[in-house]
Amino acid sequence: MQFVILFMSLAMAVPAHAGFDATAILKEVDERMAPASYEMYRKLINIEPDGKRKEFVLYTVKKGTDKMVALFLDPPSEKGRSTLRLGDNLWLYIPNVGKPIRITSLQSVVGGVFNNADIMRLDFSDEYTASAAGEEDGRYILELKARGPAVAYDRLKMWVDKQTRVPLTIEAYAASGLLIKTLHYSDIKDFGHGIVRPAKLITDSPLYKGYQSVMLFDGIRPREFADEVFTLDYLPRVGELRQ
Amino acid sequence: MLRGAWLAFWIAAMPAMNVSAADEFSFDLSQYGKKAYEFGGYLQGSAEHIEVDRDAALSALSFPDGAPDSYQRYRGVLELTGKYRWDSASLNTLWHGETLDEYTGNRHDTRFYELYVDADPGERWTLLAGKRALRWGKGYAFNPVGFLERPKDATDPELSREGFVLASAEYVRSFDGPLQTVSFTPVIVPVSDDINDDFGSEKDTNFAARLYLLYRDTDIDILLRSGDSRADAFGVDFARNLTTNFEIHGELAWFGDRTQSVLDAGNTLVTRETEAFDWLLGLRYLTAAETTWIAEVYHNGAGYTRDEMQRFYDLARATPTTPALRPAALAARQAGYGTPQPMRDYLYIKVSQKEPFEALYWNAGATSIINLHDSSYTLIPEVSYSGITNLELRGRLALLGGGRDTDVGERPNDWRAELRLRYFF
Repeated sequence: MQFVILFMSLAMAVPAHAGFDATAILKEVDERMAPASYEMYRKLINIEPDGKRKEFVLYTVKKGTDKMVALFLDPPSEKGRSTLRLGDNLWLYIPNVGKPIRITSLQSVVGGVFNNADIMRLDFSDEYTASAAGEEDGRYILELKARGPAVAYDRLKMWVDKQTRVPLTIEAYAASGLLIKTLHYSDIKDFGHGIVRPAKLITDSPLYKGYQSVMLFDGIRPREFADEVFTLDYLPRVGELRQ
Repeated sequence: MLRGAWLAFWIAAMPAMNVSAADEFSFDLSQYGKKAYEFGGYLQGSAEHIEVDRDAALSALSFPDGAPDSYQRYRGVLELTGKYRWDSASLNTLWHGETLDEYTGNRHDTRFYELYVDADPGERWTLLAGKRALRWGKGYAFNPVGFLERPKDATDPELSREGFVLASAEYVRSFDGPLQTVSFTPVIVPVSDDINDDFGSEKDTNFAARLYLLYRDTDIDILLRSGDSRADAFGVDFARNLTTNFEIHGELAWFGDRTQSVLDAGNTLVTRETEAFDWLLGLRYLTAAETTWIAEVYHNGAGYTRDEMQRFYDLARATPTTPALRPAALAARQAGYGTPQPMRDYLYIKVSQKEPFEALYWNAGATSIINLHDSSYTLIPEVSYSGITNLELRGRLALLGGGRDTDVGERPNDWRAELRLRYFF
């Protein structure tokens, strides 16, 4: 009898996560969020507790699993700044400085809750290994562990919508277990070219109480680029890629 | 009845509420496409209070009629950038206008820092002709391999600088494997009475080139300069992240037939050959608390020794009582003794804290440049705020430390406070 009670207790304690392949779902999340190579426009909005806003507009191009460039188009004080990511390496180009300098993904280019890791993030499955953590209310819960020390957040907890296979909520934790920020995706939209994904991301952080950062996505479309676009010499010319 | 009226009100109001919610975060892509014309720039005003070191050697030279205890300096700057595109080519401009009002008088200056045409026949090629500021090297404050640059202000290295008239081509290729990128940039810099007349004394056509490699996650440049206007030069530099938050970089430059103007025992400027090498070694480290440390050791092979500087200080200090010495002292200052870092070895340290005490858009930091031969130093604490869109406020205090007959101790200021406001458009 004791054995039966023990067995039933254990069965109730184990979350129902043995029924799905976390790695496959994370791969699917990446495919839903963007094609392998694409261009995209993003607006970042930092909102302060008193409602004051500061907005930034970025043009981003990405190729494959490790190449990405983001260029500030607005406001004028940031215009022309661009960031190049090649694998774990990041460079920042500032027009007045005139030459790229190496930076780290933990830095914040715009201030506020977003940092370079949020702006220059590669596919989740390139940066994290996934394991199943459970299911609730039509969502898969994935536990993501950083593949290496260069990844900004040591651990992510991701809630994925079962139907659309897009992330809805992501909690980002430091190696110490400290919750750094929470990302809330919403406004699932058809961008054309078979891309159906959230158009809005709202981020808050216990480290910035009362502050919010919003990222709006638009103009996402598949596009092929030459490898040479992702080089230091090309950084002053990234804006020319726009059509 | 009342409930029905409320229901009708809410139904009527819902579309309006939805519009309001949609408008909360709007994003109009049409504003951000590529246009034929682009225009921008900034307007800047700054005010400085300067406390004069009346006993300093350079005060004697700078204020021949007697130095004031202190004075104010007001500066206005307008920089305009423009671009006009057609096909795969573009015309690019950077215009700089500046007005300065200070104790010794008013000065105005306007000029094109850059004015060039470039063409991109494809992703791998860029062709360029006109006036352009090229920045070579990996150092933040100093660049021994900046073979085609005007001097950088080490205390404010992000200021834009005037370029030289040149023609260049750039070819870049990417590869899979340990060698990820190769680019080659040959440059021609003509010098005549009308073009680049301050690049060098000899009228000639000078050549330079840069070969860049990204090899096993390390940036490497191999650079050279040849021609009669300046000494031939050869250099290498590198930069690499040892960990994600720890970067190291370095530069080494060799100069052939390098000469230097030196005061002899009779206070006459003579030319002599000097050490051929300049080098720099630096690091950049970001802590978990977002404190950035930048440190660089810089060796200036054409720098003066303490004895050579002592002779200049003695000459400058003698000018108020012996005005006949003033032309020689001014010529020496112009020839190299008056440059911002005239001696051989310096340590540059910059520490900056992003958003201290969780104050969004605030930055605080301090920069110090220390002369490693006489321990004199400048220390520049600063604070900046960029919370208002397109507006940047910066406050700086420059403290100069060092005894008599030292590099910084003999400069004309004891300390200087600056408030700068810059509006971007």
